[in-house]
Amino acid sequence: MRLHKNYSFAGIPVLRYNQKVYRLCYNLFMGLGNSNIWIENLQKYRGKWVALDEDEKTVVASDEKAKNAYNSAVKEGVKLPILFKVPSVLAPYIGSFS
Amino acid sequence: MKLRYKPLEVEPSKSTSRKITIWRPIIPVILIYKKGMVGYEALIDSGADFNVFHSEIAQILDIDYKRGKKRQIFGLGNQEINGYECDVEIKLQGFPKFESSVVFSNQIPPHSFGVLGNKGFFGHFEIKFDYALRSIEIN
Repeated sequence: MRLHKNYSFAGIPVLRYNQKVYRLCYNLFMGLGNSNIWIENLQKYRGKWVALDEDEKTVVASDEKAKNAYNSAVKEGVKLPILFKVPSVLAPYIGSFS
Repeated sequence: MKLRYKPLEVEPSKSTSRKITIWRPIIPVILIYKKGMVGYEALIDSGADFNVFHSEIAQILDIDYKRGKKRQIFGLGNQEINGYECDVEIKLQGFPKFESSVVFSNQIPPHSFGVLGNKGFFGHFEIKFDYALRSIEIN
């Protein structure tokens, strides 16, 4: 049996062939399972700016213009809105600017 | 500090409405310029030479970004984008703010992200990616 030096859970080394089990435990422990997507209904914001609350998940405002989304979120009482430009195409991506 | 990759639902093909979850190293940073401050979600990209952000962010911070140094940037395709390199302060949760440079551009294509690149971001931290665990460790 081989132990993988990089993987341990609660200080207990995890067997290499159990990495999938480990990842499941890790995700459950962190409350972040595979099905837990970042922003709900992201499709409807395609091409727009969204202003997120401090939890980084709740969309407080959205607009074509970043400044409008920012100002709307501030009016809603968010002290520091986090802006994200939702890509117009939600597809696999490889870091190109073309 | 440990952060998580963010799961996004994407359509792998136009020919089907099937969606898959793709995990990306998108993290929140706080940009500070004089008295202005705004949060911004950007993709960590070790293949990017600069931090490249949307120019609309500069407008929120009241930065006259076109007074910065002009930069031409190329991606994987042939099309170049133009931007202007400006000095701002960046803060990550759990770390003190630091002086950095950002290229602001109004030519980032609508399907792309703002990116945190080598100059201005990787130069300030040790960053470990663990895609298997969807974890990013920043020290």
